[in-house]
Amino acid sequence: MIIKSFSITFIILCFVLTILFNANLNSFLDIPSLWFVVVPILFLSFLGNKGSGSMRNPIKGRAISWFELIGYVSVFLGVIGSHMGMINLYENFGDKSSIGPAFATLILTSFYGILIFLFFFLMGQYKLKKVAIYFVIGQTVILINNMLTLSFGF
Amino acid sequence: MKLLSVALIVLSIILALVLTGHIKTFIDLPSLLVVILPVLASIPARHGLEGFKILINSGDEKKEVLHSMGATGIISGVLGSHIGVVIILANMSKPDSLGPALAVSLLPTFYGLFIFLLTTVISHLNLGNEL
Amino acid sequence: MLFMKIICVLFFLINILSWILVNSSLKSFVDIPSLIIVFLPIYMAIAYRHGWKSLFSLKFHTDVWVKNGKEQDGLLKTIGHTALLTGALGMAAGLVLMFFNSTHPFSIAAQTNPAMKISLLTSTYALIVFLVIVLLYFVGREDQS
Repeated sequence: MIIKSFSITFIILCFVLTILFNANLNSFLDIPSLWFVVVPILFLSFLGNKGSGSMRNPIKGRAISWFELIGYVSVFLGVIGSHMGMINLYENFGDKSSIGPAFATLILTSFYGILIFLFFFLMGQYKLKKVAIYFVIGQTVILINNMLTLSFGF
Repeated sequence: MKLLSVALIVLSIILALVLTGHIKTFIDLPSLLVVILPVLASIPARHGLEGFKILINSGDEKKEVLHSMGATGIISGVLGSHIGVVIILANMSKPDSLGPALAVSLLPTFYGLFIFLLTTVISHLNLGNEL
Repeated sequence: MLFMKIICVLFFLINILSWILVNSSLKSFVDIPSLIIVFLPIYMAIAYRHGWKSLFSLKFHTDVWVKNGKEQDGLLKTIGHTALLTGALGMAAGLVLMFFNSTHPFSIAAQTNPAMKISLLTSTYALIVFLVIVLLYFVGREDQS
């Protein structure tokens, strides 16, 4: 248990140090996108703890653990949040000052979703479903597309 | 002999990148560290300190360790690219320097996919029902 | 049965080839770095998983293709999934090169920008290989029933 928590804090420290070396930590904190990703997960944690320890998938019969469910839900919330940010971004595209909050929602929701997914993947002992990795890779494609659109706009 | 085929996979990709002529853009130490340090730290996180010994010695449990290494590789690569894009937007002064900075910020994704390819081939697992 | 499989797969391939020839020349679809990125790791992955003999002896291939057993599944799955991964790798590499060589008004056309050509061609080759493998897999399944 000690080794596990030590190595997980080491990994999170890696990411925090790369942020701190190059820019402020302030540009990575956006309270609306953090609320959007974290609060449904807190509701889910009440759902998973009732009754037995693991929840059973009624269709295929394979039990899904609580860590696994929270990981997939957070990735999916990140996808939804990035799409909502994209809609806001393209709506106010001509006005240069209002691009900022929309692009922040776009990047930071997917960032928080994937970060929480990594944390719960490392804490649990399960194998991944293939859909989760495809969602994670798809987020980079969305990110690249939006960076290209912004650079054309400038 | 198996080690030779794995080394040939790595060498063929490097050869193709050298043929394009711009191999220097693919070497960047911070992006490499953002991907490789979480991959190495994911072994004790999921399997304890015996994880390193399992990697060298036994045959059947190697699949689990390699699977967790590959998945952590992709995920930390994507996270590194996200961090890079936000850093670019925070420090950007003129739009001409957007291109090369964006190229460097896409490198962790490339490294993550590379590590995922190697661990998938080595561990005899496929993109099946479970990765 | 083997003949029917080859005819079905050739139909799809001739379709793609004729579309290429009608719209532009074949020279713009062949590029050496993208061929190396996609196909050499697939050969090496076959060598790693099924032994070095499988690359050099034709008898391995005819034995595996004639039986509809687990060995054929293993070989097809290796080729298909490795092809997808190398295609994604080539796409990321092409994007890195394209962003590096860009000036302010950049053009994302495959003809003028040789870096974007690598990205698009690797993903195209990987998807065509995956299509052929999926067709062979499903045509083989129908033979059993």
